[in-house]
Amino acid sequence: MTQIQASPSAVDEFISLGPLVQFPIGQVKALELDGRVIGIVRTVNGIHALGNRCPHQGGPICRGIVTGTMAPSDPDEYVYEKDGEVVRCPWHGYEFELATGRSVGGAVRGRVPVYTAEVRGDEVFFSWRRGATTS
Amino acid sequence: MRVRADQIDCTGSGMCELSVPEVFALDDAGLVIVRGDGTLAGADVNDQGTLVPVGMRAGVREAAAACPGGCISCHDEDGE
Repeated sequence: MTQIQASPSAVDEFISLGPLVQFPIGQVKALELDGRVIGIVRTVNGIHALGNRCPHQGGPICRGIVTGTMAPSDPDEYVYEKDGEVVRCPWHGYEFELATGRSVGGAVRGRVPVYTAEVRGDEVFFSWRRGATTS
Repeated sequence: MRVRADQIDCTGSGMCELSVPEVFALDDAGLVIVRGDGTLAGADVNDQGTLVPVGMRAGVREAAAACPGGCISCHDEDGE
């Protein structure tokens, strides 16, 4: 796992995580930053930063896979949606939206910690600032 | 014993608030706070956290152990 030496000194401070090309689309890239593990996920729509804790039982969400999810549908009908916008916990398979950390379908109370990640030019920037999405 | 909670790691599961609502709550963003604002009777806060009344310490330890975010830390003071 890559360790980032520079650490944001304040919640709202941004630091560079490196060139965008180092973050392949559709995978969780785990980094150690300031003694914590975070996961950076690049999608076709943007980039997201996750904490490494599933709100169910604290599973290592950064070892999960990026996927889509099955939408509610009629019997014998299968609807797959949100491809590449969901992460699945490796422990019990609960799924969470990358953009908000919320549980898909409200299956789990709470949310995966989601921090602020931005692409500026060809570089990825990160801060510990949390989104205020009450679950 | 003193307790602290780190919002950076908080998953907002609310396990702590369910366990010891006298000590923990969720703020408007759905993240943990320790009631050091006077809501916790006799709250004594310093840089190592909020002093937990004796009768609530076992509950606070359980809440820390159950927290999926691992964001609650307990600090025993001398003589405890």
